[in-house]
Amino acid sequence: MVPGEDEIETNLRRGTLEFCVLGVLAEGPAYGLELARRLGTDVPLLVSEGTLYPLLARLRRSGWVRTSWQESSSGPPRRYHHLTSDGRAALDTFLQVWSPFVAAVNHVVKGAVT
Amino acid sequence: VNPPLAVIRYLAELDAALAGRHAPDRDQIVTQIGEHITEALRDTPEPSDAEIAAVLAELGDPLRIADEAAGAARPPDRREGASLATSPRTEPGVSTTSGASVPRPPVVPAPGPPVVPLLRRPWIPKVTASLWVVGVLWPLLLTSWNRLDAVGNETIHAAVALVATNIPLVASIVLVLCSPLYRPSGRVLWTMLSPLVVFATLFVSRVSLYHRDVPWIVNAVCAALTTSGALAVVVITRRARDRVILGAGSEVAPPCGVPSEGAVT
Repeated sequence: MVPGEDEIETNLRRGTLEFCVLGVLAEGPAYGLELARRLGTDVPLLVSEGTLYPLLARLRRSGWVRTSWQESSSGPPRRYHHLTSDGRAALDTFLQVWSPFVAAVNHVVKGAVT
Repeated sequence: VNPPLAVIRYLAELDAALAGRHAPDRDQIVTQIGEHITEALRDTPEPSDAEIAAVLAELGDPLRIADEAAGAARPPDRREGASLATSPRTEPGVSTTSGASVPRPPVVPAPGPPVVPLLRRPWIPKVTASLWVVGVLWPLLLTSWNRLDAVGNETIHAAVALVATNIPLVASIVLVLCSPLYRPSGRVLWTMLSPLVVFATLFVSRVSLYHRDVPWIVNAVCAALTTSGALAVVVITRRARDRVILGAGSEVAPPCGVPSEGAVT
């Protein structure tokens, strides 16, 4: 059976999305909707915005993300997600691995194409 | 304002779809998606059905969200040649071509049953409103014991003392300030209006009724204050109740309206 584009995208997404979330949070705390929009604006990394929340729940339980409440001038308080020091360390390790991994994949795939 | 029926139905579907998950995960996901909906409609006080449908469509099918939640805890697939997606998600790390190891989130045992923080429990709005009503009536009860007579003509001083020692009213204000169920505007309104309503009620019942020379405008202002205060309390209480339904403020919000980094999960 030949996998479809959706299936391949889903597989790739699952391996990297959590680090994309950590990457966005490395730029600063964000609340859920903001995080979902930042992950979905340029490249649709999220299948749907709702799938972000199970991921956040797992990252929080793992100690890579923590939350806090902050008042908002335009409505109810917002729950902000922050990167923890463990989350920062995990992201740094991922970044060390990611470039050579992508390079290796590109190298092999390029060979297959030609 | 009650949450739209479509939102209630969506959250109920999501909750049902997550039935297989640990209770804390389930509660957390449903709560945060409720917050997401509130946030997406923040600038639309009276959203149309189409606007609500658009927000729910962006969130996606509840079953897909539940699949994602289930996939996160799926047991490691140890088949040879397993794809990136099916690589063991619960192992400490996955070796790569560079020899480094990409960390995986450590396995954290699921915590016990969810504990709803005291200040966001469903009974908070009712208790707070009840305390407010008792607080408004409190000076009337005390003055029926001739408390005002005891201080002669210093009615204002007596009224101030009655408000300052008004334990139920102060308790209702503290609850409103500290509970995450109340919005900042509601907190300000509750805090500012409550003493004024007590003064107005006290004035009408203990001064105007016995002194015919009080200008009508003063009585009208007092009556307006009392009425608007009562209406504001009803509206603020209903909004707080709606936030219970929507699941907003599931964790300890910044106490007493102070922005905080302290409420860490």
